[in-house]
Amino acid sequence: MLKGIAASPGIGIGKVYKLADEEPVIDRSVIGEAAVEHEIARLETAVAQSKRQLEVLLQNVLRSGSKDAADILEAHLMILEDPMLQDNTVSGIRDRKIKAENAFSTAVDGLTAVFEQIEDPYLRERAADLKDVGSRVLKNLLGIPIKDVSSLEEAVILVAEDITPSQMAAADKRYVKGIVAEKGGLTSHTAILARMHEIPAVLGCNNAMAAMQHGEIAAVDGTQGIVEIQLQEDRIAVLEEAIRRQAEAKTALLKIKNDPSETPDGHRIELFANIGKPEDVAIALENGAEGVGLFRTEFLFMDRSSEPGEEEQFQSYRQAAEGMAGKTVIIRTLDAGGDKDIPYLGLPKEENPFLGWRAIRICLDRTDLFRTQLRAILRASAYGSIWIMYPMIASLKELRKANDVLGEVKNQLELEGIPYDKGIKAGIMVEIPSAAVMADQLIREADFFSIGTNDLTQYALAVDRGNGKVSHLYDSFHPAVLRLIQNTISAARKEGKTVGMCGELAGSPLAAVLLLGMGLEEFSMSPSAILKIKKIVRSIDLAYARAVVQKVMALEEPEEIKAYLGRILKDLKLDYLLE
Amino acid sequence: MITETMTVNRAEGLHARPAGELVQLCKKFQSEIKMGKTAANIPARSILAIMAMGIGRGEKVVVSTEGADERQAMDAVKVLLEKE
Repeated sequence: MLKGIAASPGIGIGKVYKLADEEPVIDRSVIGEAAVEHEIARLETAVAQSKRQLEVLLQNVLRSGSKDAADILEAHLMILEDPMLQDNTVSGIRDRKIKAENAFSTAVDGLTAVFEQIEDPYLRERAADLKDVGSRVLKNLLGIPIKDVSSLEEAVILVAEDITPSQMAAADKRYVKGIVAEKGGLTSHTAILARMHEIPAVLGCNNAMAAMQHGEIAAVDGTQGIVEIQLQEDRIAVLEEAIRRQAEAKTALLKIKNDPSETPDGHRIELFANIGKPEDVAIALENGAEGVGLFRTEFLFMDRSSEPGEEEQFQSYRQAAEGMAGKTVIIRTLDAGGDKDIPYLGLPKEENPFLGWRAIRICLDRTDLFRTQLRAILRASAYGSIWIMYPMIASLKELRKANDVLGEVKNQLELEGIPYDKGIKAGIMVEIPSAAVMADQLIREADFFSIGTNDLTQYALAVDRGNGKVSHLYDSFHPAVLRLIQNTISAARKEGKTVGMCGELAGSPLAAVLLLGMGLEEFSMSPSAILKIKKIVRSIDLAYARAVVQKVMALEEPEEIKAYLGRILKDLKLDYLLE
Repeated sequence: MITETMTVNRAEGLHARPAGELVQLCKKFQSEIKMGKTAANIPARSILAIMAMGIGRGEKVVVSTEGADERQAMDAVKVLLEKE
């Protein structure tokens, strides 16, 4: 049994599919003059085969609507057909009398070296594309099968050292029953995408590649962070039974999809979804989302070589707003930095990236980026109900500066006669303890709050949860974190403004009763958690939830608090939601 | 053959996306299109060769076109490189 970080809940069984191919071995022998044309023909066949594979991948990706993955594959096709690469290879075969694989890999290595020397980060990344295309052609030349996760035929558990966003985008989600990776944590993109697609995932799982055999049956428990291998038949039966129960619970929950998010004593709240791409709106609506509480725009900026322009951003925001058909869509302005590196922004390597130049701090320095994004958001606001949210606000001064830029961009649009929602709301994410403490002052100038519990917890407790030595100290149920949350909610409610939460705590069944009692009005979470929270809300009176808050806030240890909240769910026979 | 000097105004310089657009553009013309920093000696239909030049925004490039539609090809390249 292997242990790792429980990154996306649920249990899945399938055949282990390792995302690493057999390494090509290159024959460096010299060939005779007579074999030259044969080697050139072999090269042409391998290039043609690679082209067909990339075109099939591209078609699959285009069907699933992932533009970034499509861009990458289009660049790969162009590199594949590049005359310089082909000419260098052919002249290598003719002049040096070497085999096609030797000439080809020499040509790729030569070009890669040129790219890697260039100071420019975008171009250094292109070296990775070149290597990727190079290894595809080499494998085809040598008849090594290429593992392609976009057209799977049976249930698999993907296992890798690290899974890239493009691999996740290309993977055939119908057959991916679980994900195991040696790298990555709860907030990594693999984790976010796995939760979005409801694929159980265990990340940060050391040794997974060495311990798991390609083709063997394995089970991933993404709720507990456990991977089971060498499964006996009786164990498989037990796990399959658990998977069946989960599916049943999901079907039962779907029955309440269209019921109001209302307590038995008539208190209504809103259940929103967190999304990363406009296409995610479909998954949000399938799970009964009443709005989008967090559109993480950094996804639009990742996995590419330069920032998206105003028009491209506008189209994405408009697509999300129109997809939600008038329901609220809260768009968070670029949250780069921290653990989210965007290479072409040229973010410096920092000693403490989480305490460094990130999110609104970057945007207030690089106002060109910020203005472009605000213009795109404002233009899209004419097509639905969009709110703007600034991440990482620590002080009133930052909020004022951000609002000043917003005001200037609005004036410019006004002058140009471009329509936008003149009543658009601009609020802040409360994720830095200073903002939570000063909530009463901040709320006077913000139209709404949304509490980001992931960062709030790590900053309040001074714990990097990616650090295995201290991650056990990370706990959003710590009384200090709960007090910050309570203070934030009370401040907003006193001022009559909306207060929501878009951190992981909002989708935690254990926290639901507590947050409801504290007066949280909008809960935004992974789409897969929405119906679980709705089930709880529909089962508990607000009056009772308020009494629970009184009790919890008097407790001292996070463990006591969680045990108490767990007992409440058990008494209501809702503890199955914790599975 | 025509040879002209022009400035790259694209925000990204001649990186991935504009370089890719240039390769696509070359396919539309019969003329041979070449370019370089000081002399037009790099084939524009090679995305790798173009990107390896590492040309950034505001830099000048020498472009040459040769063939039946050399004028049209030159004009199209100019539009592509000079647009912001």
